[in-house]
Amino acid sequence: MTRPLADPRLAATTPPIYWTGLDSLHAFTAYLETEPARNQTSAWELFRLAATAVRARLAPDFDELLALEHVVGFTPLPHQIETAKQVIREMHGRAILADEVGLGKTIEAGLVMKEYLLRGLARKILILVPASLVLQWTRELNEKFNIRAYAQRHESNWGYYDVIVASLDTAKREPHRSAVLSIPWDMVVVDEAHKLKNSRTKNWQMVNQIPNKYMLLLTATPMQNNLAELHTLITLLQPGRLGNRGQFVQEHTVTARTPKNPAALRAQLADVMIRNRRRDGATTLPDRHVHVVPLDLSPAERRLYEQVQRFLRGQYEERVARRGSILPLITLQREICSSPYAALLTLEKMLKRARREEVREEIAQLMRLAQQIEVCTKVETVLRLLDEIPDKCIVFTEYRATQDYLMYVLSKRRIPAVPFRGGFRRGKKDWMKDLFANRARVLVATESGGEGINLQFCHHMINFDLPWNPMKLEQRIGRIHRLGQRREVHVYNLSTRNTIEAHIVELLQEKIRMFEMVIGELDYILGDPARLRRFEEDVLNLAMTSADDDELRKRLHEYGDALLRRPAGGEATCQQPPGR
Amino acid sequence: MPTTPRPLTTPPAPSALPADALPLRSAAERLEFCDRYFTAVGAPIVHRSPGYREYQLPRDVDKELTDRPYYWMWVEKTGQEVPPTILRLAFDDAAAERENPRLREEALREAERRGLTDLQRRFFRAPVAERIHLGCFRLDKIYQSLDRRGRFACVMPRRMAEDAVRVPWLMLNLLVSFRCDMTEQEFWSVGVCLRTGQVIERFLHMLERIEMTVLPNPGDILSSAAISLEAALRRAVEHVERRLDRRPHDWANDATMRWQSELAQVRTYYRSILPDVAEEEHDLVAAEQARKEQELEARMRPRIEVELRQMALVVLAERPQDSPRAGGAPAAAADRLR
Repeated sequence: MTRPLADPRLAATTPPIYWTGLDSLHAFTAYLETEPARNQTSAWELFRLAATAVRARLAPDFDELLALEHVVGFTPLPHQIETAKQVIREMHGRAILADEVGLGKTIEAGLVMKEYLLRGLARKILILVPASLVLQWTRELNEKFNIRAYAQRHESNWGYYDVIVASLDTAKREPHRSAVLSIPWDMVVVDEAHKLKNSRTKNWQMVNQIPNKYMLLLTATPMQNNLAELHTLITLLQPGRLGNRGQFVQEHTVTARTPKNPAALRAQLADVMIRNRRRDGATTLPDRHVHVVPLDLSPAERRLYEQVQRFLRGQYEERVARRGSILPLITLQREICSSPYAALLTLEKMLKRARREEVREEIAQLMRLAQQIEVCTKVETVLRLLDEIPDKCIVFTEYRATQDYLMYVLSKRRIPAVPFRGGFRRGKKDWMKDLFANRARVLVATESGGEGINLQFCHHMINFDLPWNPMKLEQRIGRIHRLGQRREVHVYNLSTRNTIEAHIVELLQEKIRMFEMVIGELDYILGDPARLRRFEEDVLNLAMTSADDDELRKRLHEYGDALLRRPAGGEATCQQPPGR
Repeated sequence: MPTTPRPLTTPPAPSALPADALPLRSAAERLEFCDRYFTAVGAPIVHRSPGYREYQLPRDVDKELTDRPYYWMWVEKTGQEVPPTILRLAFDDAAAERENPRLREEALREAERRGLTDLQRRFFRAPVAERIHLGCFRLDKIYQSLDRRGRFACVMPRRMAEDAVRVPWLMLNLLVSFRCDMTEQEFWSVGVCLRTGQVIERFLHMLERIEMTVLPNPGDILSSAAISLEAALRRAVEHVERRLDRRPHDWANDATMRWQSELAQVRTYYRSILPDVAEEEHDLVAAEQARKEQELEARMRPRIEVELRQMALVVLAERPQDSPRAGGAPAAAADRLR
């Protein structure tokens, strides 16, 4: 095999050569004296096979990833392979992997790890992840990459196992801290690395002190608040890459969030950070179809809704005047859009707290109205939808009470259903997921289930009520519409006519276009992420102070516009993939 | 700025011999490899179908391949008679899907014959085929077993003319690793003629077509050799180093440049933050800097590692007529070097 000609600018110097195994000559001499006498006919065959085994394990040039031949049960996507290659060949194993949520940063990190393991460049690998993800990482590395990773359980584990998954919170505490810092790790991987954005924190200082040769930092949000956070992360990888903090701020930023010269910064980042995004065609998902399912309240339900609105307005004025908490009002307003059962609990609490007799009377009246409702139109609508959907289906609601009622009605109709709640422990979540996959037809969930619960085998989703928070909605959609989904996904949003719910559906669906968006994109279309935290409050405020439905609708539209308005010129660093 | 990255080598020339392609990349090759291995270690094939094998393991092989020292300690301490382990290996998905129902059916039938309660039947666990792919546990174990069992050999051609002159060669198989923050490896097989001292490369490759048998009494031919094993080994080492020396090493120069430029960066950085660091913490920062510099060196300093993996004494006939295609005269190939 020929090598490329030496770079004429440089005199080629041979690097030092280290020999190992030469002392086996003694063993060989001993072998010649004894073994052949035993006339081992298979010796030559074993010798040749052993040579084949050595060659089978060779690390040839880096044009192809060896790791690709060693993954089990899945095929990495092109952007994941490309990323792993780039990390190894161009970034020399030190990089920030900043793909959007759901594009498979874990897979990319796994490929890089496996490649270094196969090539004998890494043996001791430390993976620091949030405590809740330790087992999942361990399992994925073992199952998908055949990497014998162990979850850290004991102080003695650090030195004993080669590949160890642990939580950063554990690692930074004594006696673990000293143990971790005393080991020359070949590779350190930190998941959720945005927790390292401040160099004065224990987290950052811990990671900065861990000895390492290769380092991967994984985060979907490399820069949440200001550009200097990027500098902090990069300093872990290559101190001085972007100068010290002062130089960086001076050279690259206009304001905390605005780079001076986005193109120049992007070029600098390209050497240390990779960010794949869906809109760049990192991956194509099957279409998502969104249907609005309008419905009308029954007269009894309508009466309750109107009464609650009157009650809310009265309370709102009063509470704003005396600067009281409007949180219970937001809750009640949202609950009444979900189901009478959901509202009952809050009404009961308010009844207990109410001091004035007429308020108590008013609440008691509302509760009577709620209890009189026999048929819940929304639930009936869900049953009708389930009749039409030939397949498995997830029903999302925000409220336990609504969930319980749905479960009750479904079991009465003999539709196999399982509940799902955030409060379930990991094992129970997995169990419910398996039941849903194998036995049940409907999953009634009160929350998105958290990371790692992927329900791609399901293609239908009913939003019984919508969360008043686009972030939460994004997570809901993300449960089924993510990598691995092969079929088109249908989302049904229940929208009760002439209630605030109809406006919310319109706002989220048509204005913010939540359902057309790809997962992880929300951060990028919003002008001011802080605004999201006030979303519920803002919406209630608008609802309570609008004279009528039309005014409310108009003001909500304006609100949506304001949400989407981006600051001029900002955000550019993360808007583009760094110079690819 | 780091230099433009570039792969360590150009892609192999299209004319590269098939022997240069990495082995065991296909399921068929892996199956053949396993058949040969298990035959060589005396593990009979007890069931055979396309893409699927069952091997019955002798105890010594079992110990090497199944990684259960405590089990064996228990068996041997208590003097148990245990049935031999059977490995059920599926080399592709189709084979696994085909064989698993059969395995279950057969195991269940056998269990029923011995009698099963309802509960036992419900929780009956049948053996399943083990899927063999590159990098799987079992294949790794087989490699390790071979590293031990195939380390040395001592052979001569099975057919050799009565009057042929027997020439002893020392074969050294080497794993050459070019390391910086990347690694690239090559397999070298070097033969040293113990009569003339001539050094040949790709030695193993040239022996491929010669049917070999064990060389009895190697001491006889060694004692008549002009060059001792030690001297031959020295010659081989010198030869390899000379060869390595003559190759261009711009990969190493690139790595050194990357290393030096990162080193400069680190030094500038720590110099620049020093004014903002409290006096009493200067030592800490200096220690951190020293550590980062050491890490850089460990990661990026280029070096070549040569590991002697296998050794063999090979007797060849001096003239080629003994074996039609056998390389009795490897000299012709001597210039075709890796």
